[in-house]
Formats: sequence, structure tokens, C-alpha cells
Amino acid sequence: MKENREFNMLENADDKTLDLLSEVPVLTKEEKERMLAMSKKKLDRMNRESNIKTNNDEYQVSGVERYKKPKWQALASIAACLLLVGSIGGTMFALKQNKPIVENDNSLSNVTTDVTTTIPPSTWDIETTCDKEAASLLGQYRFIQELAGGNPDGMELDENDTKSVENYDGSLVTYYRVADIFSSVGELKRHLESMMTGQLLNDYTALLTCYLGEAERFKDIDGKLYYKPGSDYSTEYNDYTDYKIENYDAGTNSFDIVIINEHPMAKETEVFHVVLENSLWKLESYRIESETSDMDASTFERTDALQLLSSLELVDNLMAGGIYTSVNQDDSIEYQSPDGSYTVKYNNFVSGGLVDLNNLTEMVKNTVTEPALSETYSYIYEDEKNDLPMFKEVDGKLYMRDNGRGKSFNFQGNPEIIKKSDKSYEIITDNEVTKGKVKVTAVYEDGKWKVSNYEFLDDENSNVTDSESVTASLNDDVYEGLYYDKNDSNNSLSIDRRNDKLYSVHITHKKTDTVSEEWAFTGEFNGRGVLNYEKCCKNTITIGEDGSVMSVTDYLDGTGYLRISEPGDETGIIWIDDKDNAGAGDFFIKQ
Amino acid sequence: MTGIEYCALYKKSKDRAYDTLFESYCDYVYAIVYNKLRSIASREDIEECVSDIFSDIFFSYDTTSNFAGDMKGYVGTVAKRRAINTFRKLTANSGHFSEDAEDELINIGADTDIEQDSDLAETRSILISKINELGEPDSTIIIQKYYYDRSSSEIADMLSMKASAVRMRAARALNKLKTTLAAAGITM
Repeated sequence: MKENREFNMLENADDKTLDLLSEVPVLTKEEKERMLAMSKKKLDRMNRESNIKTNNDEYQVSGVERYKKPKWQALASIAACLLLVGSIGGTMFALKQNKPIVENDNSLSNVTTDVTTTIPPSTWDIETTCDKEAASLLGQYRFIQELAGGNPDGMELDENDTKSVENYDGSLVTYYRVADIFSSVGELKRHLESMMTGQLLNDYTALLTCYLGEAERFKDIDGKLYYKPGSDYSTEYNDYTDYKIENYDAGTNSFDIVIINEHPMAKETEVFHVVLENSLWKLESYRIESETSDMDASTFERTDALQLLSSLELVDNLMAGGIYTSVNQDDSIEYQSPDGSYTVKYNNFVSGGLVDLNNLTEMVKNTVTEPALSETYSYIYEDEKNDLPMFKEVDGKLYMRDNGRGKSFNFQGNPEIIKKSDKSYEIITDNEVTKGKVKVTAVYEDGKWKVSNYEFLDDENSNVTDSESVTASLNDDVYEGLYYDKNDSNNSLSIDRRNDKLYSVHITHKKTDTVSEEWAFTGEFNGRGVLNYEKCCKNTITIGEDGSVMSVTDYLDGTGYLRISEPGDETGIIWIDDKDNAGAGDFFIKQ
Repeated sequence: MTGIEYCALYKKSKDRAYDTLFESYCDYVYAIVYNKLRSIASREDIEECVSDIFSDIFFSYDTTSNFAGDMKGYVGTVAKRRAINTFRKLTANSGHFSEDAEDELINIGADTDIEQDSDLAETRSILISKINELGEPDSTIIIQKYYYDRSSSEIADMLSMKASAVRMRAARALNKLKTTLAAAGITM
């Protein structure tokens, strides 16, 4: 094997020789990174296995108290699940469904759980106890999160023991037998109950063991536990290695685990609330907060796209009657249309994540921009003509129209992202419902990425189908955009659409390298392509030698107008400024 | 890196603690593992073993300890034990050793012939000293090429040299080493 066998004498060397050998640089940066990454991955698995073993051991310990969970809780949080899954970014494809929820025998109605009654720790030390519990819970959570997303890493599957189960559409789903860790759905649920409670427990129990329009992840078949791996699960999770313990409350025995994810131009904070229940520390709730600045507009990442698609899928789903959602048909209210010609039934909406109309409206408005909103989705919460929107709030409870339940979107695959400008991107992705592609336009508005438009494409050449186009291209605005002055390259004009009719206009004249004049005003274009304005603000901007910027307001009461002009073959905008005729000679052409 | 330093870093940021510990001792651990497995394991097996060692250390080191000494002793012990286990596993798989040959396995690291052991230690010491006498970068090239079995292009990348220059220096240095070892009574 070795060319020079004399070097074999260095094998089984003493410590001194080993020291000398270790001083010879031999490992490349890539090799080191690879080994470190492997070590951390193995550590994660060791932590998970250790935690699961510990929890299972605890279950076998002592006095037992049995309880039953009410059945409705299993379904009470599907929308919340989706919000949760969507918010984590990258796990949006964990659930794919095409038909209404069917309750199955694996619902929580029959769950009984053994709960330990060991004595809680009498003394506390935040530095050690909380830290230790947090590390353990986060490790378990990540494992469960990945399982829910379809990633079986860390759990051994027997590839020689598979079962084919018919899915809702007649297709066959392959399940693999779980060879370690859990032996039944009941055991899995007991594990979940040992580390989660409240909403989070409901969410993950549903995600892992309930039929959500598609075959469940875990299933008992012939007395054995089987798992359905996902084909497109994400591995792009935030790192949970670094966290802080905050808000420790000795009175309620609770604390928060705070994980701050610093991205180049954004900050994301994930918060888990942990409570002591039956002497076990459990994750009770999860929330994520993002702090973004205007600068973030230029960084639209894959996770932003996945999150936005997930949110759009949810909003559209609500609009389409709500496949994901659950209603209580025993609690219904009927309304008549204004002309009395028909009656509309509303059922109590029991999907836990959306609790009232404000909550719902906020979620929709955070996903879709105003033009697309009023065109398509505002009907979810308002119907000015008939007052029969998709949702109504009555006596503090949310009711949903009893509609046909359908959906337009079931996004699949890896989306293609195309940058259109700093504040606008196009996402092209596969849509299982139409068996084609959808182009979603994302724009940056109010500090968030939102959907301004979507189009169904008939093929990969991205042509829009006339028959299937649901929304017109709302942003295809003839005025909006950047313009340059054909006669003077130092001048520029930008027009941004503020709402249906109103535009904001910004004109710059660069006088020297350090001095420029700027005019800003708003107005509406009339039918003849003229925008009259008043209250124009003019500023003179001076850049100092030290890089400082000084802005002096010259006036706030400018008047004038912009007008579309078509001399010869060219179309452009001319600017008439009443105040000091600054627009004389300007002819702005759209870029 | 001392135990206290590691624990302090661990409290601030586990990830940083892992990274720093790894950076401090990866060459040392690799040297131990390579030394034990070089004749029977692939480079992938060796990397796997090194990563196992660090995950063991990350998992089991008591982060509340106040050990003020260098962690090198602890790291080295874990590394040697794990390397021996891997050696055992690999040789068992390849049929070179039987799982039952415990006595034989326990003594893998040490020859029972004291006289021969002493001779080997002396020869090894001479070899190391003669390699060191070659001076840099030849001593590093020799170790990397003939002990760590790295290719000339890999060594060239690491030392910011051309592969042809590495080949030339390696050949010359090896000849020089042979000559000096022969003078010391060792034939290559």
C-alpha cells in the first residue's frame, strides 16, 4: 500500500512522535469543514436519541394518571399548523392536500397517556436547568419538525418492510416500517406529549398522525408503525445551537427560549415558550418575528419565496372554501341576501390559528398587496354589496360561509426566482392543482414581501393562458416605472403607484457631482394622461466632502402637471413646473 | 485550550465552543487516528472516525467542570480509544482479526517484545530527527507524501507551490533522507 515501508514504523507511535506528526499541516480547509459538519450532525442525533430514551424511561417510572383528550382538538389547529409550517420557511411542502379533511381512527379521541408524577425539582438554577432543558427540547423539536417535513434522518427505516396505501386520488403511497425509536402511533404521541403541550402539541400531533387531505406521516399497520418519507423535504432550517433563556418566571414555572438568526440584512427571532407540566418541561407555543429594513428589499431569498408561496396557498385556500380548515356544522347561522332571493349558511370556524376577523384580515393583508387584494381576496373578510363575505365574526366567534370546498394552488417542486427589480421578484413554480406552472409576483411593501399578482402559465415558455388566468396583471401599469430624460442625462423621473389611482412622483436634476435638486409630489392621471399636482416639495441635496448629506427644503407649495406626450414615434412624459419652470426641455422616456 | 475556557465559551455559544475545540485539536486527533488506521482504512473511514471522536467529546464533556488544564489529554484519550475501536471494527469486518481475540486487540498499540519495541522506538526517533534535519518545506513534504500519502498536487495546494516543484523536492529530499539514514545504519 505504501511506497516507502520505512514510514510504517511511525505507526502506533508514542505520544512524542504523535505530537510531532500532528504539527505537520495535512488537513485542508474543506476536509476540516467536512469533518466538523459530520461531528455536529452526529451530535444532534446523539442528543435526540438521548432525549427520547430519557423520556421513554420517565414514562415507565411511577404513579400514573390517565386522561382523555377531546376529539375536536385534533382538528382545531390546522390553519395554525399551516401558519407555523409556513413561517418556518422551507417546510411549506410538508403538507400537500387536495381534498377536505377526513377524520380517521387515529384522531386524538382515543389517546390515553401515562403521565409521570415525579416530584418537580425543588431548587432551580436558571444557568443550568433552563439551559439544559432548552438544549434537550430544541433537539427534540428539530427532530420532530424534520419528521413532520418528511425527513427521516435520525430514525431507522426498514426498506425491506414496506406497505402501499391508497391515497385520496387512488395513487399508492409507500410506507416504510420504523425500525427503532417508536413502535406505534401511541408511543409517538406519548413522546410528543412529553415534550409539547397546548397548541404546539395539537399542531404536531395533527401534522404527524392525522389525515390532512393526504396520507398521514405515521400509520399503524398490522400492529407495526410505518412512516411515509417526503420526497422534497427541506433541509434549510435555522440553526438552534445558539439560544438565550429569557422571561424565566418562578411563579408559573415557565421561560422562553429565544433564538436570534442574524441574516446579512435581516434579523429573525424565534421564541419558544416553555412550561412545567406534570413535572416535565414542555414546549407550549412558538412564534417568529422578523425585523427587516428597507435594505432587505434587495435580498429576496429562497426562504422568502417559499414562505410567500405557503402564505398565498393558505389565503387562497380560505378564499376557496378552506380545505385545510375545519368547521362545526352544529353551530351555524343563516343570512339572507339583500334581495331575499337566497340564504347563506355560516358555520363556526374552529381552526385554531385564526381566532377573529382582525386576525384573519391582518393575515390576508400581510400576504397580498392592495390591488390584488381588492380584486380577489378582500372578499374573505368584506363584501360591501351583499355583506356576505367568506368570514363573519359573531359574538366573538368566527364563522365561515358554507361553500364548496376547492383550491387553486398546491405548489410543488423547487421554485425558480427571477429578479425584476430591487423590490419586485417573480416566482415560477409547479402547481399540482392545474398540473402546470404558476407565476407569482412578489413586491416589497410595508417592510414585507407580498404577492401582487399571480398568473397560471400554460407551459414552460411562460405564456399566460386566457381561460385560466384568474387575476389580471394588476401591476402592468402604463405610468409606473423609472424614466430618463432624453435631453439631459442628469435628470430622471420615477413614478410609483400608491393605490388604484394615486401616484407618487419623484424628479431629480443633478446639478453637479455633489448637488442635486429634487421634486416630490402626488397626483392622479386623468383620462387624457395628465397628472395635475399641487403641494410639490422641492429639496436641494448637498453631499459634503466627508460624505454627509444635507437636505434643504426650498418650498412645499409647488404646482404644475405631467403629461403623456407622443411626438413622432416616441412616447414620453413632459413636465410643466409652474413654480420656476424647472421642467422646461425635459422629455422623460420610460426605461 | 483549557477546560475552563471551553466551558466559558460553551455558555456563551455552543457552536463557537465546538468550532474552537475542533480547530484546536483536529490536527492532533487526525494524527492519532491516521497513525492507528493508516494501513487498513480509507481516507473516508479516517474522517468518519475523527468526526465520531469530536461528536463524542461535544456530547460527553462535562461543561460544568472547572478543569483548568489543557484538554489535550482528554481529547487524546477519547481519540485513541475510538481509533482502537475503529481498528477493531475494520479488522473484524475484513476478517483479519476475530472479535474474540481480546488479548490481541488490547495489545495492538504495544508490542510485547520489549527488546524489539525498544529498537523500534529508537529507529523511529532517528527517522524523525533525520526528517527534521531536511528543513522546511522538505520535512513537511516528506511527511505529507510518504506518511500521510498525499498527492503532489494536494501538497502543492497546501504549501502554495507548484505540483512539479513538490515532486522534485520530494524526490531529492527522499534521496537525501536515505543517505543520512544509511549513515545512521538504517536502510530504506
